[in-house]
Amino acid sequence: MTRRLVPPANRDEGQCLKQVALRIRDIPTLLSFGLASKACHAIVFSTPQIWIRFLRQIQFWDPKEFRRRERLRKEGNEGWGENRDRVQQVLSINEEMTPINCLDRPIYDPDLALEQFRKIYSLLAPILRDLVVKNYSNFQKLNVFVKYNTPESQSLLFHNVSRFINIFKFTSGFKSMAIRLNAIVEVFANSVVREIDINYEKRDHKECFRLIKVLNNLSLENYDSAAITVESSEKILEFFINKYVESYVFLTSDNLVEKTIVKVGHSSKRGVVKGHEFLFASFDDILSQIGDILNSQFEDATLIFQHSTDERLDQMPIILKIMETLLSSYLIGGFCEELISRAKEIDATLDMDIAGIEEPIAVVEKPNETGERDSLEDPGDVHDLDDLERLASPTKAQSSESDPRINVMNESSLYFQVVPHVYQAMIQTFKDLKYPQSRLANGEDYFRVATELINFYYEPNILEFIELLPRQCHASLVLLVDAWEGDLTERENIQQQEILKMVTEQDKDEKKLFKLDIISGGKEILTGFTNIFKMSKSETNEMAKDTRLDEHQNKTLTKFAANLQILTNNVNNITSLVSMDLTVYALQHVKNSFTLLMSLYGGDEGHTTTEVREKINHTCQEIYNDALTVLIDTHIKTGFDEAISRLRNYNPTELKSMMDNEHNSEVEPLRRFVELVNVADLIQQMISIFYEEELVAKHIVYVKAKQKRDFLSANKCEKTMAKLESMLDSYVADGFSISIDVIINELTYAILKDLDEKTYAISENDLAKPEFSQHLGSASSWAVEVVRILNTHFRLLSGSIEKQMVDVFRQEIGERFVRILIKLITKKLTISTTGAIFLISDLNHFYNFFLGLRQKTTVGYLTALKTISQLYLIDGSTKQGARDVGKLVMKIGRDNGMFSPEEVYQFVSRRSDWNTIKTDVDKIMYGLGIEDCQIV
Amino acid sequence: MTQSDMKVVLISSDDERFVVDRKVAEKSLMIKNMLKHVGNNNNDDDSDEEEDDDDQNSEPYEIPISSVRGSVMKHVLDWCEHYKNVDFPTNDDGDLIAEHPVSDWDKEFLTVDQEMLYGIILAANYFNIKPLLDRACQQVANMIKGKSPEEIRKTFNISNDFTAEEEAAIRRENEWAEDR
Repeated sequence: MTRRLVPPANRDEGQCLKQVALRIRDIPTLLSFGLASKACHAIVFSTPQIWIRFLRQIQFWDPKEFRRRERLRKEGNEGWGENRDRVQQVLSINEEMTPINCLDRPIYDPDLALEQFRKIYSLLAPILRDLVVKNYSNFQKLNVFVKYNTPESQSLLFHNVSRFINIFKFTSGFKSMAIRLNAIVEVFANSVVREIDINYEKRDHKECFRLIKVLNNLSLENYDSAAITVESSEKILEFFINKYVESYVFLTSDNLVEKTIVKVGHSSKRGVVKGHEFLFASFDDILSQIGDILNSQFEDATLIFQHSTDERLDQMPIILKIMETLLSSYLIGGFCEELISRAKEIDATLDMDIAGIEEPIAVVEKPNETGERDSLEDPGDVHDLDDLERLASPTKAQSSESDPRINVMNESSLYFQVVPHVYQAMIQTFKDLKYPQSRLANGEDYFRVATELINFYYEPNILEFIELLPRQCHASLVLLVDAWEGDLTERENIQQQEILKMVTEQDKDEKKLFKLDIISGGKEILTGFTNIFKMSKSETNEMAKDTRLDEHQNKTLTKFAANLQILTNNVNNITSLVSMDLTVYALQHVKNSFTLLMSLYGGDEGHTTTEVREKINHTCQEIYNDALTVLIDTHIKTGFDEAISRLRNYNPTELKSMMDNEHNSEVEPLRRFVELVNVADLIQQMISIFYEEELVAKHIVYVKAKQKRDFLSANKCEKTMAKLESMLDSYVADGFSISIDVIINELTYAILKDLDEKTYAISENDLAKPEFSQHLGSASSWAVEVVRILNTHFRLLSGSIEKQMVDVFRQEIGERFVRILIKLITKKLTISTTGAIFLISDLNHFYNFFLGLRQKTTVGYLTALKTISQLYLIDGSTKQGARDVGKLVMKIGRDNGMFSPEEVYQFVSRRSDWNTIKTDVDKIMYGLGIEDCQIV
Repeated sequence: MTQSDMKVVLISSDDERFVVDRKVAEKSLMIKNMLKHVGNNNNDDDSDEEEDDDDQNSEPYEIPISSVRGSVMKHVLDWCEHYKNVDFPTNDDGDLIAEHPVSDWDKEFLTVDQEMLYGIILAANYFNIKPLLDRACQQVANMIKGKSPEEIRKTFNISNDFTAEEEAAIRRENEWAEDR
């Protein structure tokens, strides 16, 4: 099935000529074409599009208005070709048409196109030809310039001719015409600029502005297709920039950098790096100078343009250009770049280099020739420990508080001092400028544009800074932790050496009293920054430690005691293995890094770009995360590992068994560890508070409301914090289990010291002896000691760690203690009827103790043991007595439930008279005795 | 069968049949509009993305073009084929927005005898292929650039139907453009 479509017939055979005529682009050919035939003539002179095309070339056609009227006509409204309107339009043009106004009002009526074009052509073509063809060599003498002799009229004439020349775009010779006209306009424009200059120097702002307007007349709307490329507005800008730039030249002089980063030689002043100091005030002075210059230039420009009635012609482009030129080539591109590279240069120099450039007046200790570091006391020495030392000595820290712009993060690097300050100061300076009243075209104010310019030109520095800071922070942190650890080891070494030295000296010089001179070295660190986070607890610790040390200072020590002292010191030092203060300091690093980074936000309103801001936030997170990781990996982890291993190796019983009991109370591994846990807990809290306050509250990280956070939505920082938490938890668990071991060891030691198998095997006669009679009804000394040890440890725990943890701990200790008791009774002790009284007293003592602690399980065991102890009370000397014992064994085994009958049997077998009553007991229990067996 | 691989048969005045892709034929606005109307006779005209035409559409449309000779048609369709993937944006008035630079291919394409050139212009005008019309006319306009009326008459093979007086009058009328 074929489907046939019939197109419309070809309606217009004559289209061909018309289409060609529309594309003839030069007047002579077009007119020749019109002369070819009547039909051609009709096409040329009655096709408005042909002429509109030419009018468009000289921007004398208003297509928008044309379309608007067309639309009206199509909609059937009054239409657009109303006679009155047309007549008026023509008339008004007829009245005034001259070479300088003929292009002022573009037309929109196609029917007028030919006529208008003809008039314009007749007016301007002769002038153009005169200028660029006939009298080019001395165009200035042309009559037309006699008629139009003011700069204003001449500029308008040039403007029109510049537009009109486009008619000849497709004529041969157009290029050379354009070149010539360009040259002429250029000459004219330059002469106007000269006039402006003369009047500017005379401070004749009015005349200046008049000439600027003249120059502005030359500007063409559409530069892209314009043949005349003289950009008058550029010329105006150029003129002013050339004028104004002179006042910025001082920014490029070398000694300006020298004035801002000055040589000070070795100085204890904070922020001095390698003998050089960045003078914040000098830099600010320079900026305020710039501010003054800009203000006066703005004022100057405003004065000139105050006469403007045309809102398109004002000082705005000049002011923008001034700012851009200043920023790009002088302030940022010149001075600041120099400053930053100088700062980097100094940062990179080696310490040794300073000696060479040292000014002779500065009397300071030069670094040792061996390159060895000066002692800590030398304030001039710039070395790795600087950070630590500075914080360690409060006086120094105080003196440095004078400049808040210097902190631990940038005190040892000029680069890190310069970059943020420069940015902040620039933003501030431009914020304080007195901008002209006028607003920019898009409603933005000048300052906003200024910040954009600053951001644009300064951004590379900011980005570099953002990249470098985390590294600096990391390095500084590692250095800090290392220094701290190093210091700790050093301190402990010295302590040990001192103790041992005393002993040796004592050997030589018998009985000589000497002081235990403990080098407290890094202890200053601790006192140094407790003021940051005032922790009364840590202060009390300090004091407690001090008094303890004092006590020791007058003590005479034997070699053996010295060993013990070293050992105890090890435990005492556990808390210092993980330092809260170091954490505070590390967080201060992070905080200071944040401060530096956030100064790149560009003031309170945050004038930097969104991208940079995000980058900054991201970097802040990185830094925080990195600091945590460093703390965890190099400090907390090693600290706890060390603490755990010390706890594990701590075995005071070995040494102490040879000593008297005096030191007993000082054996407190658990207490030390609990303190460590407390410190760790505080550290964790500090870190968490820091996160909430510095990262969350300041919108560095965007997180859900606290309650809604879970592990799925956790960010990197939160994950690291969770890692820390779980790590601490497992250390605490390990530490406790070791501590329990240590306590149990201590208990065992205390028990074994006072207890032997005979303790409860006393005969009735022994009761008369005073040592027994006195104790009758009260606990024996070992029991008292055991309860004392337990009580000490338990008391210590309650209040310092969570209640649940304390319970678990007490339960564990309780159970293990009961196990020891059972073992003692079943394996070691022999108990007589009389001894049973003492045993029961002791058991009651334990029972009451654990009952007071509400330890159900332990109390349960002790109750069972109390019942068991009745087994020993029964007098087994008679047959009946023995049988009663047997009955009781069965009863206990049946009712008690805590111990199986076999176990009860084991207990009863520890009776001192067991051998005699065994047969009777067995008989009761099993219904038969040995004698019942018969060999068949 | 989708619209894009649909064929259209164009029949020239001398009954030559040209089977071309719909896409090629639609370079002509005239044909495009025509197909749009028959293709969606039950729809409004903006649903040109309709893919599932009725099954009867398997047969291609035949369109007789009585005003274009086969030789010219072949040429014009060559052009359409060459530019089938190029869009020539136009403004509200239907004018081309940018004057495309005449490429070497175009130059080569338009290097034909005058009769063919006029044929192409007429065909392009009739088919409503703006870019082709533009280029072909420009070619002719360039040919007569700077020529005298007499030469122009020769070029277009037209006779002077002015009387001497009429011609003189027009010349006087044109004096505004004279180089004085």
